[in-house]
Amino acid sequence: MLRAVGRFARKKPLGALGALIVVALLLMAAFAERIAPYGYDDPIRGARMRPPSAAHWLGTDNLSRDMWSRVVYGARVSVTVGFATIALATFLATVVGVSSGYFGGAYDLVVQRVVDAWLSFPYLVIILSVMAVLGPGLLNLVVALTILSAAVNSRVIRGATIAVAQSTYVEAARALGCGHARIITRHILPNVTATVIILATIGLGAVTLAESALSFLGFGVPPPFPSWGAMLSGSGRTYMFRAPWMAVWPGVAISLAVFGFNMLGDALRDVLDPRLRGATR
Amino acid sequence: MRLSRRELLALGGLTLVGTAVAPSLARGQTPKRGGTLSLKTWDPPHFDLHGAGGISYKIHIPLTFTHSRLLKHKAGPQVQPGTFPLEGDLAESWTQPTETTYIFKLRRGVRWHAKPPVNGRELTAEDVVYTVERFLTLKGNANAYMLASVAKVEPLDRHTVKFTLKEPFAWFLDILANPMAVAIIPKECVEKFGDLKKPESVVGTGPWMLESYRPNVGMTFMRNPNYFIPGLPHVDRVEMFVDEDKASRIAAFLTGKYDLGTEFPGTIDRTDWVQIKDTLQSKRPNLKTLEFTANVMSHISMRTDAKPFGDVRVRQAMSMAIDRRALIDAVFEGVGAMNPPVPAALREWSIPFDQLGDGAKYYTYDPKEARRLLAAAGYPNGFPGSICFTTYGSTILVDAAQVIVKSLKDIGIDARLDTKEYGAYVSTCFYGKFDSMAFGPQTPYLEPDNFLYGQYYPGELKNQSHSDDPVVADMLVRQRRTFDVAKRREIIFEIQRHLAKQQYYVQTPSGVYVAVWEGALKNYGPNLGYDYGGRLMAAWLDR
Repeated sequence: MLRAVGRFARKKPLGALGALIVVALLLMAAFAERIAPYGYDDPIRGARMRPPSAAHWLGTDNLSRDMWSRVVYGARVSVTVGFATIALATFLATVVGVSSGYFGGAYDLVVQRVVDAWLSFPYLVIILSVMAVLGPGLLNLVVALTILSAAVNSRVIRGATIAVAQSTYVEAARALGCGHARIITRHILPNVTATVIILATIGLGAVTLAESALSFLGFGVPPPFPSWGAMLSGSGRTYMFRAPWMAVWPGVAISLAVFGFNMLGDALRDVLDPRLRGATR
Repeated sequence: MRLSRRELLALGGLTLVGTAVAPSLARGQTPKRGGTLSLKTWDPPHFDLHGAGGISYKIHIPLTFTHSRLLKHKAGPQVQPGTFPLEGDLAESWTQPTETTYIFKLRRGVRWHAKPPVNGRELTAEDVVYTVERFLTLKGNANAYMLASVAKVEPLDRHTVKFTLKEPFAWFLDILANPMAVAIIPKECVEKFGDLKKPESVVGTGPWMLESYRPNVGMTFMRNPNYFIPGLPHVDRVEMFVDEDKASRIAAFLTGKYDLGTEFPGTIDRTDWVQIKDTLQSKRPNLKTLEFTANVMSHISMRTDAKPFGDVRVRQAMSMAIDRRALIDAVFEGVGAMNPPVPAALREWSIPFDQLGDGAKYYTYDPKEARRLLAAAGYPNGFPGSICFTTYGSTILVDAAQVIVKSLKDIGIDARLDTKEYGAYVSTCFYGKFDSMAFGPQTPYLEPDNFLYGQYYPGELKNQSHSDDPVVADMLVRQRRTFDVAKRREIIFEIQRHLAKQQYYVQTPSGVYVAVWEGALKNYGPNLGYDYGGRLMAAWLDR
């Protein structure tokens, strides 16, 4: 296992860096209480808008709260929204994409026209409409982002399914009298898994960014729980001139998280896609 | 009178100096006609201030340029912000023959804007009657309660209007002067357009006429050449720009685009002010500023008709949990004012804290005592709750809400912010439709009656806390019936003393406005309220 990890790191150094960032993010989210020196909403008397120092690594905000602690807790929102959305969206996209690609015909035609219609709307319009109806909140954010991501991913998975469904081994299975359920679970799904994994990892970066954007617009997790996007858009922007660290650190966190997910996704694609196997980066 | 030789010489010298200086002073003070005033505004949802949604300041502000009221508040540098002396607008004079009767003599020769469908016809008493009846009866007018005391309004002749009230209402004249209430409108516009939502229907008798409206971009007003006060307004053109992005409007203000501060009412938020004031000194050295306490007051409202907020000790504990000084430091840059039930900004009616009596202690930060009160009420471990909230697009408000949530958490009240979209919030929580608590700013009224009667009288639409206190209700009615100002003030102080002990709402501090205006804008005095047009009517540009 360690040898495999070492080989991956040598072949894909950027991918390994991405994996490292993702792991760090997961650890921050899981052990925020232990990592953060202060609570995310604890004001520190006499420490309003202090610049980064030994006492407060990333400085303090206008409500005298430790920025490092808030960035650490903010990872929890990014990770929760990111992974929950991708899990749900991937499941939905796989169901829609595989069934549509495999069965084809009128069913495929109807499903794909619905997907077409869905994709024809600008993504921000869809998300804002959904959020306006459901209201702000973590769960609603996940639902809104899932609806959008699932539609996009289902189209890619459908393509992969169509390619796999025309393979000779699928034809052979069919000739041997295998039912749809067996063909899908034993032959189609294992062969589109690489595509699904790649979509999921690359999607994680996009979802993190979308979560930040929605929090920026006020549709994210209600304060005082920190979210990087909300930290950036709220007081971060207001005090940009006097306390730039209030905006810089959440911005850096978003950039790092997106970079990490994207690099990992990119490397996984190279490793899992047989056509790209052997490519180094 | 006997003058010594020295005194006589001094007097002679002063006369000479005075003779030399006076003409230049006079030249400096002589109003100039012309110029364009540039302001930042908000995009109005429509222009019908009596219709549904007409409660919005986004409608009221532009209409203060185009419409007149029976009375108005005096404006200018001589008026102290937070005070609202009355003067006639369309009314030339008025009398009050009985406690429930008012007779207004209208100015003669007042003409509507020379625009169709009214085409400059003369304003008559019938127009006033039509407007008041529409204000009171139009479905969806959330401000109709302001004139709920009116039983009948009738024309006595072409230029005389009589109001008969159902009961004495000492604030009646103040309400007529309030730009939130009755701007006089022409019947022809309603008949032609069906309502007053369209920009074409903006026809008034005010100092400026709406020339164009560009949705989400801005609007232009032109001087009304037939305005009923000869020589006014001095400014020929007013350009108003919608600028929703704060960073953009601050940048525009720095470059000199706007003549008034970009936030309501012609101010710059203190959080921005402390960041840009040094830059402004070099870029716009002629800017004038004046600071005065804001009448925008946020409070926590709660369901006092149910557990746990029905217990006064819980409410007192909540008030004592709030560190108001820390709140001022955190969100108002350390410059703010503590508010009793009537905001401190209404300086004539807000009770000073040293006169608040026993209730004053509930405005002091004492989490230990707050926890003791909660335990005594049967909640030693606190309780969970939710706070209905909307951001109003203000980071200051979001920061204040976070401080409130944390303060309540510190005494065991685990309150979750239930953030709603603005429209959803205003149609529900703003009118008391919530399960637990709500937090947010209240309409910045100019009279204490609206802060008190609306929020505390049982059954009132804005009684968000559902308070039903017969002692308060009795005093509220009494103050409305007391025309002697000193006596009325004493009742209002007494109401505030009682409310301080009851804490039906937990008031939070207000900031102190930094009103900012271009030095070339002369004879302008900032004040609270939506009456931008009224404050700019006699101002002129010296550039």
